[in-house]
Amino acid sequence: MTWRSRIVTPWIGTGVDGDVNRPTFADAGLPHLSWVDVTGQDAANLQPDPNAYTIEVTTTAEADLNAIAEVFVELWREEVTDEP
Amino acid sequence: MPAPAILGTSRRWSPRYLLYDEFITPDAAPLTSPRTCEPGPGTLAITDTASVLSISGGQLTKVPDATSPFMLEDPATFSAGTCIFAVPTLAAGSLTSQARIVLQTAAAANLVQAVDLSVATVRWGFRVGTGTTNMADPSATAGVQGTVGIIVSGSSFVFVFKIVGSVATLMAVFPITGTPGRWLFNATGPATDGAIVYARVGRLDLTIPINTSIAGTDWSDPYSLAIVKDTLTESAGVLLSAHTPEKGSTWVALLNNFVMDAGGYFIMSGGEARCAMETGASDVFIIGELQRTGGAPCVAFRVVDVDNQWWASRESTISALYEVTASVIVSRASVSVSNDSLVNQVSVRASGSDIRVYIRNNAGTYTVGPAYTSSIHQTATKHGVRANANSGARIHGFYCWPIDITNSLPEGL
Repeated sequence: MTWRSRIVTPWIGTGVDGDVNRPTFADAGLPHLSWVDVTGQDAANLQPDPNAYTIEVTTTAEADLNAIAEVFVELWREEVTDEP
Repeated sequence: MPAPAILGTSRRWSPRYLLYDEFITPDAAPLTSPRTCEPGPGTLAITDTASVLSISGGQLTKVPDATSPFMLEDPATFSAGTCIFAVPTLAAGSLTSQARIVLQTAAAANLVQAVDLSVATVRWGFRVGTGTTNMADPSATAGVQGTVGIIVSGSSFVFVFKIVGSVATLMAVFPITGTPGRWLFNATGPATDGAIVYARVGRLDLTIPINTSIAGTDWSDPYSLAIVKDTLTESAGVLLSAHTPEKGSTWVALLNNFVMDAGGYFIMSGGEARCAMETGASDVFIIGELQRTGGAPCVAFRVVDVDNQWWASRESTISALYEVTASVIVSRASVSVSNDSLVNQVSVRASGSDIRVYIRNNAGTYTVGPAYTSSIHQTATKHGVRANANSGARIHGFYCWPIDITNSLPEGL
């Protein structure tokens, strides 16, 4: 059983080796299983103004999502029940 | 009785079945065990404690049932060239039903499961071991009958494939750990889902000499179908661009180069290194044998040029997918993985716009890596490796298979 949430997070980075473009969430040290960009925004125009970006985060517990929601704006969350 | 030709009529070799059941004669539940296959050969042991199985209309049907999985057991041994397959259909709209081919140990521990999984829309997938490594294919269509199967290749490799219509697609290539004991055809599903139907199940030996019109693939060799096989065996000091793979074309240095280290692996030479080779295929299954004691060794795939490509990384505690477009590096997805400084297999399945990564650690445990949907660089046919830490990002091996295996399987599967 896992939990899934979409959050808004600014992008950081300069797009080079050692400082790749990435969501701020990736450096936040918050517990999670995975995240994925759900916007597919063009790499050439990655950091919009305002710099607000959406990713989908997966965690093992709802408590982890609660901790994430204290730092980032959460759009929605759901419990993932379709794992075989 | 001739087998139905799902794979078309261009191949004139008919498979020689070692087990084959088309469920011809109607039979009400409970079925007799062992069941004598029709038209044969072979028998199947049946476990069906709730009597949910019956045969009618040339199909084996499992009626909706909340608690009782059924099993058809084929105790055949695990040998190179064995192909075991089933043709199930799940009712459109089923939620959690699964029809599976399962390879188990003698103690009934799962090693591999090829799954027809219905979650709103039917998905194909597979799992390795007993964990949560489920690798689904979102491109499948609800209610469409197809073939799912597993081919044993070499002493421990398995290929998971599916056939829908006239197209056979490689789902994955991977080695297994554990000692195989038996094959099962089984299914589970809640009472709220529809019936699960099997049109046929079977087993055949793909090492039997085959007609040359079937592309000459010898499935007993896991690298027979590969378009790249490179164990990266080389003398110390030799550059990757001067190295000749066992199978494949020439390595091209796109950014700096790799050099064979005295430790028996390639490391970057001159700074961050990017190398790739032409394979002729953009839809591929790649296995990179990477070791990370520093930096981020990566499988590079769909490489257009030095500034445009994809990377699947093995870093300290994550595996990530990076898009490189016009030299800008963007992290698109990331999955947490256990820290491991030993050799890991980083597998990439790139099929259309669907990109999926799987990590196999040195102990043989799989983790589902990052997945992403993108058509960026989708038609690029070069693939390779990338490293960014001197001696800390090590490349041990590189292998690549085409996803489309239509011409490598016999008519009648």
